[in-house]
Amino acid sequence: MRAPRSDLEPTVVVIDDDPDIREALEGLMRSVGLHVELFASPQEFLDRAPRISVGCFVFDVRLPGRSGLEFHDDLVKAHVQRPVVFISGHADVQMSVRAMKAGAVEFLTKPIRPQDLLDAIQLAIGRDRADRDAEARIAEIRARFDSLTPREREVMILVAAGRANKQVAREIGVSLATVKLHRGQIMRKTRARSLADLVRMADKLDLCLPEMQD
Amino acid sequence: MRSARILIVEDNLIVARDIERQLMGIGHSVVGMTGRGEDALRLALSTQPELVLMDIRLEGPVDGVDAAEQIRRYCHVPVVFLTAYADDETVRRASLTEPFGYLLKPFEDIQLRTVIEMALYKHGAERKLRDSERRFVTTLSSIGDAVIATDNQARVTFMNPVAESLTGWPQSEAVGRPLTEVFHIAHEETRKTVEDPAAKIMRLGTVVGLANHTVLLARDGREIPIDDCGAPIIDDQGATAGAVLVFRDITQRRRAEEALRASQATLVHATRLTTMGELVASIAHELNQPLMAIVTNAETCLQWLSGAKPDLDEARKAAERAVRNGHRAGDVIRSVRALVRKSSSGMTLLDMNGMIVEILDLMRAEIRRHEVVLSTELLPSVEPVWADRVQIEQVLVNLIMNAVETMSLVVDRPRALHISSEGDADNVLVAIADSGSGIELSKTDQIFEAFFTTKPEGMGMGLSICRSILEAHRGHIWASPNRPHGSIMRFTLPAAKNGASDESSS
Repeated sequence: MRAPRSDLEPTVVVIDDDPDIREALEGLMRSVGLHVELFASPQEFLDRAPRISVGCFVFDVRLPGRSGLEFHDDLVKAHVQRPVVFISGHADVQMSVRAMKAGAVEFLTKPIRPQDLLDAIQLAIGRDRADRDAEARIAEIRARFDSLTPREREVMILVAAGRANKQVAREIGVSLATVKLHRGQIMRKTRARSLADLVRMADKLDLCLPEMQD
Repeated sequence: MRSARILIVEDNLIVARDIERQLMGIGHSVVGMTGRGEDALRLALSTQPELVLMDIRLEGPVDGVDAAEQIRRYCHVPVVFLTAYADDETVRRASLTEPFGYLLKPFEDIQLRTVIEMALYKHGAERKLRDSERRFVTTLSSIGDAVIATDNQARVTFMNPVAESLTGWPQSEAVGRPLTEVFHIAHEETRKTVEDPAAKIMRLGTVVGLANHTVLLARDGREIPIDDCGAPIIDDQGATAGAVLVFRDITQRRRAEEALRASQATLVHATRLTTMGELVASIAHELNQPLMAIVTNAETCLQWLSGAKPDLDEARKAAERAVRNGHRAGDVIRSVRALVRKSSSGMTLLDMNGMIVEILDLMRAEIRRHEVVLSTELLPSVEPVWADRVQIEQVLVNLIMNAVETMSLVVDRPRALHISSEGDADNVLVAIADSGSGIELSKTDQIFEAFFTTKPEGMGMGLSICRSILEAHRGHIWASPNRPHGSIMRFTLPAAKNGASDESSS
């Protein structure tokens, strides 16, 4: 899948077994300029596997073949989840709590006020956009990190851990001049503007940094 | 030695008289004598001898062998051939008549006596065997199950009439054929042919039952579900001489099981809809769907109409969708109405005891599941009542389920459910007693009010509906404490007087 760009048109994926409801939801989405994909069951969604760049899901909790909540769990496990708005014909406190704990954006009971649904969808799309952007930034940083040579990576990690150049030189067994050379390359390739930038990048990449030595 | 009645067929008169004298000397009696083969049969029929001494060679058109054949066929009397000399051809022909012995002329007394005794004995033994066979065949033919017997090559040797009718093969055509040709069975669902049961019986040497779900494919294409078992036939030496298969048509049994399941399902369904709460929840859910669609489509319509450039076409389409959804909601209401109508069947003459028994049959499994001990005392003095069957069933089911459920928390004493009925000329009284936790005396009236419930999930409509139904029938219902524990729910219904109702009975 190509790297998602969050400025693309968002898509709402609707899964509900009632054809009248699907039709009504599609009409509503289109009237506010949202692109929508409709499915009657989780299986149909899996079979057609649409490519969605950014968007959200709208499920009924009672779906043919699999409960909406269980399907959400499946999607999370497969790393293809998007923010979900649950709709349900049954106002069940237990179910709604469970859904929210699992990370749903909203849990609405039928008959749903269309405005409530639109608000929840906007919230969900916003959240997805933010998620996608964060993902994209990290991918960018990772690409830059990968462009470093193994030695440069070693140096970067020690520098980000707070070692002075002299210490770095001693630890990896090269001359001070070499260390300074590496550092220059690192700053150039990672486009870090300061040591602080470098440290932030290491953090975002979740690099494991060695402890400070005395 | 028993004295036997003997017929002599011998064309040499002197020899014949000699034989007669010998026989009488031994102690037998001679009932007839002839020298002509053509008279032998007639004489045998008229004198009914127990044995015939027949000269093999007789002058005349019918010789001894022919005469013996006739006698064998028509009289079933043993024939002993007398022979002085016979060529191979004659002997061969003679054997075909299945004689009971030969005597070579001239013969001594002792030989005569021995042959006659052996012949009579053998004949007697054969007759006993035939009688025994006949008794077996009669028994097998008259039992209600189908019976097929085979030899040790799995070929059919016997079929009783029930087997003939189920398989579609008359015995005369089936005998000698391999069992699988006549008794063609397959698994009901997979359609795989099942192993030849005769072969299986003989292989295992024990009684064998067929697997479940077996169907018999009759000759005319009918498929009959059957239940069966078979056993090996062991001969005197302990070897397997064949197999016998007994089977029966279980279509009726299946139908009864299905009917029972269907009634139970209906009862469960009816029980669930007995409380208003269930009905309401079901209606609410059904209506929610079209309602949501209507509101969404209406909102969509407004969206298309608002804004700088309203899209009238889209707005119209949305409004049309809303109208369609409205019709669907109407359909839901219609079907709910039909459901409500089903809950009343119209007034008929009801046998309360009969209905109580039927309902208990259907609820027996549920009652047992709750470990409740059921006893009944339905008196014959109970007159028929004029009532709506479905509604009275609902009352009974409701009261019985309440009793069962109230006892579900009882652990230190038996859970006893006692249902009794009695009546006089004017009324029928039914009582349902439980050994549960009972009702507070102050509440014995309140429990019949709508929305009164002690159950955490109850909606409290059951007893209130029971009271409405019974009062609509001009009956009454009330509760009182049961001693030492529990409660007794009693209700009355007026007996149907002869010609009391103007409505025609259905």
